[in-house]
Amino acid sequence: MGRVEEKRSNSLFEALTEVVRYRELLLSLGTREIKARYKQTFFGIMWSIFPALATMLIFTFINKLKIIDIESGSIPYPVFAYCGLLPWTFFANALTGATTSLVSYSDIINKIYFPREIIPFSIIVSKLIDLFIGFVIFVLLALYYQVKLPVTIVALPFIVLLQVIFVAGFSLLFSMANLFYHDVSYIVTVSIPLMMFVTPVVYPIKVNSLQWYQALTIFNPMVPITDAYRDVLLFGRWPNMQALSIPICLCVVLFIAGLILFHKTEHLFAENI
Amino acid sequence: MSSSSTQYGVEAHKVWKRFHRGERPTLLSDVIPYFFRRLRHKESPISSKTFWVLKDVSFQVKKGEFLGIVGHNGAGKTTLLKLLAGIMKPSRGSMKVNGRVSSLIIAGAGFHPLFTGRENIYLNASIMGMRKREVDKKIDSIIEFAAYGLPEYKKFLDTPLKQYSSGMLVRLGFAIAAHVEPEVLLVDEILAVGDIGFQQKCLEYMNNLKKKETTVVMVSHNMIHIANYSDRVILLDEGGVVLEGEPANVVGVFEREMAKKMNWVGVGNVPANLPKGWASLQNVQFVAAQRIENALYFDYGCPIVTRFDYNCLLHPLDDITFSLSVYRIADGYKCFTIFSHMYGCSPQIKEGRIELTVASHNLLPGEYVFDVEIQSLRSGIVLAVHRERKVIVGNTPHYLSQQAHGVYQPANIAWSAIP
Repeated sequence: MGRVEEKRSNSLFEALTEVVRYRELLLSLGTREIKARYKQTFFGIMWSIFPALATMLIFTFINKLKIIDIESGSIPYPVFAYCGLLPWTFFANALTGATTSLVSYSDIINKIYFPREIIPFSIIVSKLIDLFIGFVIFVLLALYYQVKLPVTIVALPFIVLLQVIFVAGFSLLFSMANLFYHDVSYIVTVSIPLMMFVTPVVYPIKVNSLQWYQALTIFNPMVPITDAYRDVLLFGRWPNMQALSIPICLCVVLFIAGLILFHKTEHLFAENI
Repeated sequence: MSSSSTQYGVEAHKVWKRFHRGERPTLLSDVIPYFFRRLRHKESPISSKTFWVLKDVSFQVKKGEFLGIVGHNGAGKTTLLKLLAGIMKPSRGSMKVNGRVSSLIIAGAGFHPLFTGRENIYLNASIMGMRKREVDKKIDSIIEFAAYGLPEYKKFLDTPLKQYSSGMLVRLGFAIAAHVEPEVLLVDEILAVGDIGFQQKCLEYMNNLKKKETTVVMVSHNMIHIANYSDRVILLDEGGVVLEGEPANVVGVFEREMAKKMNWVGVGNVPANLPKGWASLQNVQFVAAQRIENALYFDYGCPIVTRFDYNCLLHPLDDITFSLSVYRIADGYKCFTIFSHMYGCSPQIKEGRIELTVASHNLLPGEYVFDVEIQSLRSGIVLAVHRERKVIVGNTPHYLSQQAHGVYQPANIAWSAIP
């Protein structure tokens, strides 16, 4: 893990290989994140599933009371809602955590060199572990409601990977911007609940809804991603590649742009914290 | 890479580093007027607020060499280390580091208070670039290091760090940092950590580094450490290299500069109630063998010549004696006193010049106060005093624990086994 200045360049390839070289650090910071969160708690890791379960229960209750009427087809509503909450919880938690990550690691950034990408990425790793636990709960829930899990479930890793790239791109940009302007973390905290309303998390997005609402969903990659989760986990449909093609391009471009920009400004971090 | 570049562990070539002074406006209500001010005044007000922390710094450190960096606070030493560590980049120029870098500045970076000592070892080590397999192998050694002279320490390894004392934290941080085995090590004022027992362990570690041929760049305000370990010393002042060379030489110049700036005449408390006007000491010099100028640093075992002018109005003159006393600064221990009358030297005239040669004082490396006095023998009254701080340097086997080894090393020692 030597730092031979001559061999360092600003190329994208370099940025990626450095991250790969430090993969052990990535994992150990990721597990640190998880472990630290549940130290000195009674319920421990279970806290990673309670919030999503609570949201699911609330909406199930609202739906039961017919306060709002959500049509979930043949799928029992709790399973339908929880399936949408899986990617949403991951997205919301990873992005909020990653945005403030560089600032909260400022003492380390000021003292030691390692690729800074590791820091927001380690937050994503920790939330991925949460996602996995959430997935186990989902399987139990499906068993309880006697929902048969379709074969298309094998396509899940692909959807998760796409979502990780999407979240990683935003995390790089936001965490970096947040170093210079702490407003970014406030903006993220405010925007995420708003964004939930234009994402089919607890209800499907109807084709015949208002035009401006439709327009909002088009530019939201979380819409096709959430739909893809439901497709492969509940409906037994393969991911809708046509709907996903634009988000895929968007995610990849965002990720590459984020990585390059991050790598180029990395050396300014220590001075600007 | 050519062979000429690989012989160096560190190469700094015309390094400049600029910092901003003052707070950059971020608030909307500050940014807008700031923006208009900039428009009106053409030249950006930022430029007036920047300053150079490092100015055209160039140096090389050969592989296995130990470079010391000294200078006042704010001279740019820590910035230089940060550039070497890759935390910042130079504004101009280039900084090359060949090989795995680690630094003791970071001891304890990323410690988590809720994690146990053992968990933190793994965490911290991975931040410092160690692999898990490597830590598995070294963990016993790390624990031994941290628990040096403090066996109860091991009982705390599975206790969260929040229960540790600050000294225990420092021990753990240093122990991990000491096991990174870098090719280039950066040290920032770390040797003053922990209790005396642990400090010894740290010094022992520094000594082992020399054997392992690690390239070291050390910043310290402890001139004894700098002089003892460094092969070469750089003096930084206001961001530039002012002097580079032999440790004793550079350190000596720096200390004299400091003494001048601080208007520091002598050391210790010269008795305030000296009878005035009876005698005086002038032009006191402590000179190393074969040198002429007053020295602050003396090599271990080097003869020391003391010279001074005296002026004495007290009669009879044979009641007067001169003396040189040496006190150890660490504990105020009086190492010895040499009276002139015991060596048959008393002043014959009211004023004159005296020279005292101590060929083998055998003082161990450390800081001392040299104290020259004029005294009345019969009354025991001290008439004039001159005190100066002096440092004996040297990398002798005894420097590790000065106190434990006593004051001096007797000459002409012969150990042998009797058959």
